[in-house]
Amino acid sequence: MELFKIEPGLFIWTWISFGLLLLILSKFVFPALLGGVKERERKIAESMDKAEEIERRLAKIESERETLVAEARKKADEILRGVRSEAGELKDKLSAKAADEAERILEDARRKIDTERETMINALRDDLADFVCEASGRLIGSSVSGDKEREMARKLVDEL
Amino acid sequence: MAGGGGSVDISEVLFKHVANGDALDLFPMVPEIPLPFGMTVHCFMLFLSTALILLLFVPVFKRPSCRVSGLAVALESVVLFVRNDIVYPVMGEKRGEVWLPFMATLFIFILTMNFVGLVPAFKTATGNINVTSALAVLVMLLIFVVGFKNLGFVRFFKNMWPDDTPLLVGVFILVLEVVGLFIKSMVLSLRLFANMFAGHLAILAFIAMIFTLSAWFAFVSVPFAVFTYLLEVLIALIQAFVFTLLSCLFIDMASTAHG
Repeated sequence: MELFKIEPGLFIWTWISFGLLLLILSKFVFPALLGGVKERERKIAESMDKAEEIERRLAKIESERETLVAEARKKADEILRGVRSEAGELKDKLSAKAADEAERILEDARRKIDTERETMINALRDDLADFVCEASGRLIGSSVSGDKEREMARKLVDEL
Repeated sequence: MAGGGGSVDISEVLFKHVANGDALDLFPMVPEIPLPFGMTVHCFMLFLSTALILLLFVPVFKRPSCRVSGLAVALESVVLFVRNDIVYPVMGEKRGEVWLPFMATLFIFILTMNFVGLVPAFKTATGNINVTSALAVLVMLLIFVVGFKNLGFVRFFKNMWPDDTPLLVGVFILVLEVVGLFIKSMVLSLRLFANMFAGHLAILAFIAMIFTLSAWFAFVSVPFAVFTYLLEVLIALIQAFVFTLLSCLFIDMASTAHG
């Protein structure tokens, strides 16, 4: 049958063509192709390893950061608590000091007022004694201006 | 092609289009082109496929600057397909690396011959039993050579002898296994040949119906022929894959001790 005709020439040429192809591809194509692929695969594997390493480091850094943030927060809270308590104490101290100062100022003012009043009363008494001496002198028609009369007039004013 | 005059044997015309010849019969109206040096059409297609592979692969991978082009990536993916889907899963990485050039060449060779045959007016070299047999015989020889080299002559045959079997049964199985090695190779050859031959014949048969039945039949036969052609593209790929995969399996099985 035409379909199954044996053609030794074609048979041998198939082997020769295949052998030639295998030889040329193995010598010039596959080493370059597979070498390139292997190099790329190696680079990809390296990149993957690096990426994994970076991810691990990132996770570590993240956990360290979280620890640091927690510690910092804790410290900040402590400092804030300390500052608040110090501020409270300072405020109390300052309030007490201000109250003392106010009391002292008030006391001084009171003392000054008293002194002033005393001075004024004395001046008034002196003036009144002078007036009494003047009035008495006019009544009796002679001058009453000696120290003795003035002392008496002062006693009278004090008694009054 | 002859009209519906009845003087032309249609089967003869069909077979002439798929069978081997000594002149290129490109189109019905174009005169045949005689081939030089007594070369047959299938032989010419064989050389054309070989030249095409060399023209595609060698310039691309010889110059490092070309290795990043789209063509290089496409060619590389073919080799990687053979490596990752055929050779490594069957033989493992270590042995696969040794066999990869052979298997990749086999796959590319068969695939190119199948695809060249799909070009209109061209013929399929793998549609000739001599081409497929040559490849199958090569695989069969490799099965024996690699088997003897890896296991040794006695162990190669002992490998086919089932354990704890009576002598007669053992001999019978051994004979069956040895005959099986030849049959496997024959089937490998026949499968590729039949698939490529039948596909082309089916397309031609659909087209021939237009001339034998009625011109109106073109509305049915042309879509069917196009569908069969698309199916042929798939078959060309599948057959190259099957041939390479089975070759890989047979060589691995024969050269590995089991049991």
